[in-house]
Amino acid sequence: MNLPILSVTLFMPLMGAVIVLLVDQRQSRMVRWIGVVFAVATLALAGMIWAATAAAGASEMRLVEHMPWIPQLDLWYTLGVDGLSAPMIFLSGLLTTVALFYSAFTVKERVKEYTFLFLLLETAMLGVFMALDMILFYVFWVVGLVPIFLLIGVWGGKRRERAAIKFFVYTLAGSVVGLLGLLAVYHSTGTFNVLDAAAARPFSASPTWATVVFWALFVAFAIRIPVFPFHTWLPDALTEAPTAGSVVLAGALLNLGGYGIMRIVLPFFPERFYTYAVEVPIITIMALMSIVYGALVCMAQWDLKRLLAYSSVAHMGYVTLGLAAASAAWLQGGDSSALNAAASGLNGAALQQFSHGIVMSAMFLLVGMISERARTRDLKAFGGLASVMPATYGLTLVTAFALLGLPGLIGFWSELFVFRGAVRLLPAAAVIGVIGMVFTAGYTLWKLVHCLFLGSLDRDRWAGLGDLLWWEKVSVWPLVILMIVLGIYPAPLVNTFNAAVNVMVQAFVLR
Amino acid sequence: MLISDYLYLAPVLSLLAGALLILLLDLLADREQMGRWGWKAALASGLLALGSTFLLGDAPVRVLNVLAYDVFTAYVWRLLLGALVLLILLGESYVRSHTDEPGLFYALLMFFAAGALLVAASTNTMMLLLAVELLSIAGTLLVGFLHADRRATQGAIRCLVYGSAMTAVMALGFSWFYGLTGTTDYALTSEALSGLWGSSPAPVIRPIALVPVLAFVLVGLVVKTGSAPFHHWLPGASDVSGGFVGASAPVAASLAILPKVAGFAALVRLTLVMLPEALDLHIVWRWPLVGILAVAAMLWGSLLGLRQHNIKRLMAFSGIAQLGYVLIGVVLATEAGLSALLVALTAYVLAEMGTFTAIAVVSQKMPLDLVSDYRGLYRRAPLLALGLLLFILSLFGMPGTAGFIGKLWLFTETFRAGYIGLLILAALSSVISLGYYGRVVRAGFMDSDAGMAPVPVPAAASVVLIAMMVGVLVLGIFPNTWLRWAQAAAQVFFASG
Repeated sequence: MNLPILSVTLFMPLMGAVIVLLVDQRQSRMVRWIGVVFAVATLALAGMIWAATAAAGASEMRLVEHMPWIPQLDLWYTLGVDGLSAPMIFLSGLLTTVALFYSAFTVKERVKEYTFLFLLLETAMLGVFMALDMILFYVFWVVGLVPIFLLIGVWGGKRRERAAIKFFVYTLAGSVVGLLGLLAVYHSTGTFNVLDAAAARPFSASPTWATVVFWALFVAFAIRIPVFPFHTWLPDALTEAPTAGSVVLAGALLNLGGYGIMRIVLPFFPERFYTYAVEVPIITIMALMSIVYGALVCMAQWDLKRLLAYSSVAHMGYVTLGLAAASAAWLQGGDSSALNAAASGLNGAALQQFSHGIVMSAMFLLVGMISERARTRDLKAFGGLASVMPATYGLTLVTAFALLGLPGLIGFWSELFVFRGAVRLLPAAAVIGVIGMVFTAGYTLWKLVHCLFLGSLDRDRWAGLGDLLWWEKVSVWPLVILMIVLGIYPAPLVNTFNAAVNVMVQAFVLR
Repeated sequence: MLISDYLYLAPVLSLLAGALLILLLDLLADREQMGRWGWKAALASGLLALGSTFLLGDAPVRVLNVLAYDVFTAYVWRLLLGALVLLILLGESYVRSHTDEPGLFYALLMFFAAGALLVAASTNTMMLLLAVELLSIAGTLLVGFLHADRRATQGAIRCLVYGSAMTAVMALGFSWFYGLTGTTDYALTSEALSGLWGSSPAPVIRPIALVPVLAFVLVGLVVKTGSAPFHHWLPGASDVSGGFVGASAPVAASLAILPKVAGFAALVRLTLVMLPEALDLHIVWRWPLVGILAVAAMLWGSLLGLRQHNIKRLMAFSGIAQLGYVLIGVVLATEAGLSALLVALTAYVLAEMGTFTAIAVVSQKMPLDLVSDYRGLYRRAPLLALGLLLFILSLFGMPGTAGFIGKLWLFTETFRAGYIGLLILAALSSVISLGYYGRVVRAGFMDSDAGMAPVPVPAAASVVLIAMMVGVLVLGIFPNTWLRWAQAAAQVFFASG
């Protein structure tokens, strides 16, 4: 079969977006369902991509498409997926579908533009995960910023302007730095192809240059993860974004940063990464700061959405920690147990992104549903909601347990893998990271479960809140089911990641 | 010198003929008729000029010994004439409602464009000087065209004063070259200069002594062509609250586009023909002279832009920063660098044309041109707002737009040539420019439109807007053909050696 399935998937949402543009503005019902239909179609294709990649062996690039794009600039339209990207593509498709479905019932104004932007955003996200040409990667990377900027700025909360501008300036400035880094890599290796450049090890002869370019690229991606101290745009953006925007931003868009590091920074500069993760542990400290600082802020934060945003920062800290552990593979030529640990760290980072994507999206949906009913995000006003919203309570309880890493749910596996890698290679960091987990358990149980649902109910205010409606359940249930299924039987996910990770880690080893 | 040489002047001649015809019609017809026919006559001569560039073939020709017609000239002329045609369309509704003498406006615009064409093709310092004068006189008159408006007159006087001073500076520089070499032809000047030092036992003059002369030429040329409009926007005594309007939007667009494009073509010819790489002066000219100018333009434009509340002035400063990026292409002076320069310049023209179209439409309703006039534009005129967003993104260099291709290529070549500092400054300037671009986007998309009236978009402006939007996107995503043209144009200077 010669169907270019990656291109079809990639441009499916864009096609939907164009069709949405052609529909009359007043037909908002039709616009909504066009959006959902295209998102579902893309999700189905993404599932096929995952299945095909897993079946073919996810250790190398599959379904590759390779065509000249702008030969004058040596740019190629090269797409491909491996075990690392296929689940991320699926996740992006899933969360866009959930977000558009949920929005179909909640967003009332400017539906056409909203749907258009969401579909455009999906194409941009998928493009990042599929692109194997650095500039193609960069194009999708940056194009994705515009829709999210407008989604926050136009449909966001009270302080949306500030949040949108901050988001835009932060991430665009980071992108410009990243572009310079990519150009430098091209200058050194003579190719824009991600895999060829990694094989060529840019600037291996010039440590100074390698350091500068490494940091340029690292910062560009770190802003997007985001890692402390580059995280300040995230709480504003997540708090002000409309619920569905938060879902996609927290669940899918943050993954682009970590993926960029896995696909570009780590393979290009394993040695530099090792230096700054282990020898001069700046990156590790940044990761730990994200974990501990994020968790501490959560303890003190009473705005529901801001709390979740900082929780996001903390959870993305584990991704960075896993990446830091993975870089240790560089020095471990013959030592297979250390190599295993490094693979475990990288697996953990990938898993953590996936599980964070599912769990945090579910959390944002649930919290959005509650706070939109109650018209407040102030945690102190709540309490005892379990009796009025039993279904919400049940779903939130499962999600919260997944968030704190309870065995049997998806969050457990990702943290297990991260720590398995970190304990062997960065023992001190692992210990501090575990302390962070204690805090996570603390604020999750105390605030998200106790303060919201238990305790005494303010009957006058909340008696009439009402439980989840059918479409709210339909939005949340798939995510919760995934948490449970993948928590009990994570093999499909872990095996896919692992196939790619093993090959990658081998390639880092000192040559 | 052959009669057939005049064939290659066909584009210039048809513009001049168009201008004279319009002036003649102006004598015969009343104002009403001029309003109806003036722009059509201008459009016809503009299209004729544009069409004629496609009939002239690709072979390089020396025209009357003072101009060069080659693929490079053709590229630049087509760019200029394409912009002219759009400017005429854009001016149509504006001119009719703002002036008593539509005919005169079009005649001046034609003279202006003819000057730009000649500047772009000159291979002789005296020819260049004359062409620049034609350009700047017509430009000054255009600026002062709205007689009724005191501020327009003020602007014109400022242009005149600066302009004549800069003519003197440039003429002084060229006269020095003439005195040293006894010729005004670029190529002959270059030959004579290389004979001045090197061969004889004691050089007649050291290259370093010519640096001030080069600086005179550069400053004169750049101020007269490149940044000529910006004096006009400089706040001066009157500030925003006092209602500083300045040139009308179509005039502002002409000033932002035509002289800059022509000036770059002239700068490229000077750099590669009069001061070629074989000459010791070449390197001094490129760096530090042009290089410093590039840095100054990038930083100055983006930093001062941050303080603007008037959108025309904001765009003028943004234009200066853009000019700085394009100047990097001159600093590189390689074949690929020159192709990149043409690409970036074309992207600039598209985005600027589009932006000024949007501004022209809005300023018909709200002549103060404040950024705050654009509040909630998205609700008041969706097409305008979306266009403005796209053009601003292209000016920033957002992937998927023509501006990205231009910047990407320029940056790549800058890296290849090893000008890392320049590259970092360019990136920094891009980041700073986000500050003011962001303000416009924020006003247009996020601020409420409470109390603001809808903005009707005239048909001609819609056509220009949509054409520019399509152009920015198509060239941003499928730029291959365009890049091949730019490469062919750049090859002119490198084919032989």
